[in-house]
Amino acid sequence: MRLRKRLKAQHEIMEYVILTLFIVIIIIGFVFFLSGWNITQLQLDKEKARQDRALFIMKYFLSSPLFTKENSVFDDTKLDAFRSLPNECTELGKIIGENWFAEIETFNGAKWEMCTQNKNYSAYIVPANVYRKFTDKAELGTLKVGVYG
Amino acid sequence: MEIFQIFKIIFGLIVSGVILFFLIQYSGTYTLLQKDILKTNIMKSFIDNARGVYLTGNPIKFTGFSRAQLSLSLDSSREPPAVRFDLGSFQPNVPIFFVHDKELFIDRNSLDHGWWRFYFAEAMPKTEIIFSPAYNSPETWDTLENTVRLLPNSAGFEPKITYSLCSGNDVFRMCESAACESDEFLDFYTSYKSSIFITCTATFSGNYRLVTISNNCANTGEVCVNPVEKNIYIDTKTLPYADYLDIVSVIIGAQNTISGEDLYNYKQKVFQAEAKLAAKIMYERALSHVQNPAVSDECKNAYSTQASILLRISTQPTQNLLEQSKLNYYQELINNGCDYLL
Repeated sequence: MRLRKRLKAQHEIMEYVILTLFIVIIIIGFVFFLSGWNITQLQLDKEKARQDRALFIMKYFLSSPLFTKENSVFDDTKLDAFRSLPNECTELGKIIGENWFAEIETFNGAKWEMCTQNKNYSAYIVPANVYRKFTDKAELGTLKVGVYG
Repeated sequence: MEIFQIFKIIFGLIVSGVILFFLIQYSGTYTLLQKDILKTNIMKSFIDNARGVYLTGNPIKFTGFSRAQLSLSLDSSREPPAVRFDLGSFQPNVPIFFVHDKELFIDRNSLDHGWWRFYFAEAMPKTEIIFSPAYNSPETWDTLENTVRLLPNSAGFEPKITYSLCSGNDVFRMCESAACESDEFLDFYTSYKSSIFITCTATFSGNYRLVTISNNCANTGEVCVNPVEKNIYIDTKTLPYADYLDIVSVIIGAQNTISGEDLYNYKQKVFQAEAKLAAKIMYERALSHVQNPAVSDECKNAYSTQASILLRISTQPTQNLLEQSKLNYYQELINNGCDYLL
């Protein structure tokens, strides 16, 4: 009789322990799920921020009077002048930040590379025009803008 | 009661206590994290929207700051300057003159230097900007007009940035429509040019900026511009102004956590950086024209003069040199068909 009572008590304690363990596992699983979700979201946000920055720099290049004659029309003499500056990337970096590059290429083969490095990047390519100041003609080309990291 | 029953109660209490403590702790941390994420998203959204306005020139209404309380400040010591908030900082990478409030109107404006245009975004809540032209002279009206031209034009948008004049206790809200915005104000204020104005003594409520234009800024309070000395007086500070954007930056920041002086210093930093780079690019460009045999002698001379001014601007972009280069650009380069209008 006493042995049966003891066994019953042990059985009930085990039930309790297993139930508690089960609840704790669910809570820990929930915490891991939420944390994992947040980490994934942060990683996605980081990637989105990188793409947004590349888009911003692209739009900046297409509209800035430092490089263009009018929106989406680059002035070749301005591009040449910018590339001939001794610290052009640092200078522009003081305005739009660093770790980016831009490449403008016409279908006639003329190319302007700015701040290119041998690193991983996210980039966008869009059509753009290049105004040839000395011949007073516009050429069709592309603008490739990317950010490193 | 059996011992086992007592054990069950104590065991249950301990386990539930531990679980409850953990859940409260975690939910607290999680809530704080979510609040931080919200604040970061609001800041990011503000910067993205301001950049969008800067790049496209399309004004917008921004209500993001109504979702959470943020304290913002400018860090002009960084390159490029950054906007600091509770949790860190963002670099807008475009010039933004702003104060934060629940509802903001974001607009783009520019300073034209002929060969280069300095674009900037401005963000302000519903505000009445009251000018007190207490010094009756053409300089006063020039200062008023040029300042208003660089301030936000909220026509067709909410919140409204309105303009009025004040003399003594009288406030002149002279426009036909209820909201006297930039363009309408500039159409109507000319009829008041012949009137004699005295320092404003009226009291105002709500969101407003009182800008006194006077040759004597002692005891005028708030923002006072002296067009003779070319100084801006704000609180106890005296700030020299080179162009009207200096005045605009002080007006936008007056009465705010991001002060007029902060925005004034920020303006100097962003303007100088861009002006120097623009001058360097345009100097090299001018030289390439001088050296090109296809360019006419007339244009070569004009580019040569321009190059010498630009070289000086590239090290010290003073207002005097900028005006000189603008004049040369329009008179010599544009009029002779050597270059194009931006």
